[in-house]
Amino acid sequence: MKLRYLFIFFLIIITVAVGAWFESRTREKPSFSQKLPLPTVYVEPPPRSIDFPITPSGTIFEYVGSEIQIPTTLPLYAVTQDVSINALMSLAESLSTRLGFAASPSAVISGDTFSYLRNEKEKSFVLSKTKNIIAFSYQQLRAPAGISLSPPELSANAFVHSVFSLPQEISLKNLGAFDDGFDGLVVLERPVPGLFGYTWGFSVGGYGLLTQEYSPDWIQSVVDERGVIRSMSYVIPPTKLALQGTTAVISLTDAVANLNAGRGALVGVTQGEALGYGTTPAFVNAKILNAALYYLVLGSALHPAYFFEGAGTTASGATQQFIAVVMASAHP
Amino acid sequence: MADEQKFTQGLKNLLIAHEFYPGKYEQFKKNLALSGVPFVFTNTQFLEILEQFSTEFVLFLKENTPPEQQAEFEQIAPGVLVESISENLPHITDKIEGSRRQNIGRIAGAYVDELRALARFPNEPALQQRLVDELSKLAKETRDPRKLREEMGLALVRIAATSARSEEFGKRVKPIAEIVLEKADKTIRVLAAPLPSEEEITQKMFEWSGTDKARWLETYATLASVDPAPSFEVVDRLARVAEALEATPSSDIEIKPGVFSKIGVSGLRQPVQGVADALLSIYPKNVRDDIVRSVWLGKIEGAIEKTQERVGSLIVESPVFQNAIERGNKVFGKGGGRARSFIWDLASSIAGPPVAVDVFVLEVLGLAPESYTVNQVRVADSHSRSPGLFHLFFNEASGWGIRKATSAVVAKAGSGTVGRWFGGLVGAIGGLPGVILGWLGGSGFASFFGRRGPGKPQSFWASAEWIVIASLLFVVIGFPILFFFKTVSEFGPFQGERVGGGYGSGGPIINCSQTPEDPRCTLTPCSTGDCLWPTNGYITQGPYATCRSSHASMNAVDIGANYGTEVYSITDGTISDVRGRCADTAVGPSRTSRCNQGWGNYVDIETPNGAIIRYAHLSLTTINLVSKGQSVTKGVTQIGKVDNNGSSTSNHLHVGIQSGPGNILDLLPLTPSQAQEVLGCSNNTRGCLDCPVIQTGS
Repeated sequence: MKLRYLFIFFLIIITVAVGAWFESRTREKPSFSQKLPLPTVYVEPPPRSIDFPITPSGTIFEYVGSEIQIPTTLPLYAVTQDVSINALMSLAESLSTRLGFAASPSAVISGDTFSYLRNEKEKSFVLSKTKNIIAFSYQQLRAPAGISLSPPELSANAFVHSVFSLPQEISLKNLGAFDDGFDGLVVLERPVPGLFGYTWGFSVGGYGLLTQEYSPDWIQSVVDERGVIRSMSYVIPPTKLALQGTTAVISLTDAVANLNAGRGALVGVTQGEALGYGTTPAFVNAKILNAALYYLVLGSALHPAYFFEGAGTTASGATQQFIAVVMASAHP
Repeated sequence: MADEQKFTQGLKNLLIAHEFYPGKYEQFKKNLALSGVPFVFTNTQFLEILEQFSTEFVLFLKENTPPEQQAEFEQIAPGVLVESISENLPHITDKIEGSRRQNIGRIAGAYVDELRALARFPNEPALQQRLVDELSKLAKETRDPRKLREEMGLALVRIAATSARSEEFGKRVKPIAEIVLEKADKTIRVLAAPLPSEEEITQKMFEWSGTDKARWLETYATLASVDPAPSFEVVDRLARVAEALEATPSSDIEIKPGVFSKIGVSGLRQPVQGVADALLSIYPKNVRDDIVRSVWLGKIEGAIEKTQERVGSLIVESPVFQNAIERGNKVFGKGGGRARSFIWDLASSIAGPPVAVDVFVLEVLGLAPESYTVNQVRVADSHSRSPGLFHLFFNEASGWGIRKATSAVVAKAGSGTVGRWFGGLVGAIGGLPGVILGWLGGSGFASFFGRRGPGKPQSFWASAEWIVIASLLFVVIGFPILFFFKTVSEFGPFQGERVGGGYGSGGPIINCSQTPEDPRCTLTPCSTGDCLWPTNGYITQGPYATCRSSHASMNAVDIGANYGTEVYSITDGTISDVRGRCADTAVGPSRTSRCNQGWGNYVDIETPNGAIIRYAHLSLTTINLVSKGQSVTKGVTQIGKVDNNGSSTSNHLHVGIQSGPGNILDLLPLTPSQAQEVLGCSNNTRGCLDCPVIQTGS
């Protein structure tokens, strides 16, 4: 009787292992749809500042995601990121003091570039302003002893929500958690405590805000299991928004056609499931699986833009995930 | 209920409500006297009774209240004192004239004592039953979650109010009600909870007797503030099962197998047993004792299993359980693809419940002591570094307190732990066949034979001695298997050794005789003896860390360092490429940044032997320190400063051989043993070994 059970047990294990292996090798193939005609309305693409100047030749992007509601018009905003050096100094002092830094700060002001730095043996803080982007980052290599227990997410949220008073038009948006590795994060305790990553973004009028790097993530924090913040990166959103009328929004179909016509930016390509370093795009077909409207910070204005996520298949059969951005304004 | 009795109860309730307002109680005691009718009420009754009070009665009370306190008195129950019931006034008069303050004092005192005992969570089955009854009634009567929460809050406010006569005690009990009313108070409580040491946790777990499981009652209150609807669904279902079991003669228990048995995940029986334990803890003591005695004396064959399956099906179907499993998997299922996670989940379900399930049981069913929050469970798990061992603690803690059961649990958890270790060891050497064999020979085999739960005839296989026997078997069988795979690796399709990625990570199999040029085969750490670190910091990731996509095929090392730390070339050579553009730290959450394909600002240096070494995530402010075509000197030429741009989570330098011969570890001042430790390591990533703490530079 026992041998029978043992045989069944072995069989289950082997079947599951083989099945799981097979499952991991198989990917769902999105349905093929008709090629889309080029639209009659063309808009200028965002500047090709991301290092993917060439879309693989002959690639046709097709939208295979679910239907989404696109408004016909959206408000346009002028943005201001006007923070004086004194205000930056004050902010840096306030934050670093709050984070418990005792070391003397050093600050560098060079033209429009500002950098405030506090380095201690096992923690560091830097607030910088470069290219009109203000951000700060903080790292703590070892958690102080005796800190009370606090849920990681609560700690991160409490800190993030208390950093700045946002302009009325901008809302903080929790984008969820990640735990797929923390590149470069130094944690000196062994064993390494449990770590939890969280990201936040901002939204304007219910639409997410993309950074100048076309990322929806503005804030990122890693918190350990005791609720001690081990790392935080925070890009400060525009300090002021001013409504400047409305703009017509092109349809999703037109946006995809613009991408096919080279009027878009392929801003990221990865190969594999997790985030990592980009690879040269080489897919022969590309399916857009998700599309959403965002506001993109470009210069001194917010412009509506389509944010596409999808996957392409290379000639060798490998799958590459991509992110593409296409301007959504019909009258740039 | 007779009107008089209702009225009396309402009056008492009103009095109790007044106790919530300091200073009012004594005043009202002077004005009112109440009968000694046993104090029993529900919230619905409370509202019904209050509605019977007339405006005249309120005025009557006011007349007996000092003027300066009358305003506060009106806050007692605004809006509910409606409609005159003058017919009840004679009763009031009677009560006053009777002057039975001693009675109410005795009743209130007794109730306060009960609540005090309840707050301390001793083994008071009657009290527990009483609270559970009230909560389950509320859950049944009120389906609207928002309404339920209000009702629940009122019920606990009443409890707090009753106890407020003792100011000190009131301070302790009041937060229980507030937890229900204010979600944030759970956080406050968690924040206030001290973090015990590893030893304390272990000690507590072993000291934790079955009777202490009554603490889960308090967790219901907490749960109500978190997710009222599904939580009370569970409460309701548990209560129904309890009632059904209570009402059914034990010999007639007939429960059909539920979802648990259908899905056949035997490992999940364990949390179900925990649930059953918890369930038993709310039974009246006589029922509980009867069941336990009956089971262990063999009077009810298989009753526990049947109970488990019944309760299990209810729990599995509940959204709370599903959410918790999902959440647990998210927390504990780091690393690996879906397939590996699936295998892990299934395998650990068979060999013993995943930690996530344990955590769920401890958290959601509140088997943990009051201060033992889920975070502390995570800490305990993190410290123990052994789900099996932790599981053993859990089983010890939630066990029946009966030595036989403990023995079976020890055999099961212990053999599962050893099995996992064995499986990982064999798998690390033997590749996929080794993994399968490891699991079969280890956790699967041992767990299979060790799987004898309560209610089954005890046998040799269910004894703790099985651990010893299983260990010996592993030694006798396992080592030949290891050698077997070593031998097979030289001839068969499983050639080579698993390289990098750490223990049980599923790293690639490299055959160095076939691919001698592979950097993993040519590792000769710092053969020149004069290697240098490119910057001052700590190694956070090594080359070929297969558990991470970012370094899975990279011949590179990450060095975490402070922002602005200087970076020097570790070789002589010529700058072959310089890429800037990514603002310093400005990409903030740069994990998702694609600036320069995720490299951020970087400098490539071509070495004399044709290798291209990349230094990535450099500060934009110093990216122009060098320019393309410039010659660099090892340890002399500063090529930049550390930053956090590109695909990165923290300030760090990525230095690696982008193309060309050699292993990056050969160029760093590492000892051979350190190089082996760094190869494939990755901090904070499940499936990889943590990197050793190696401080680079001075």
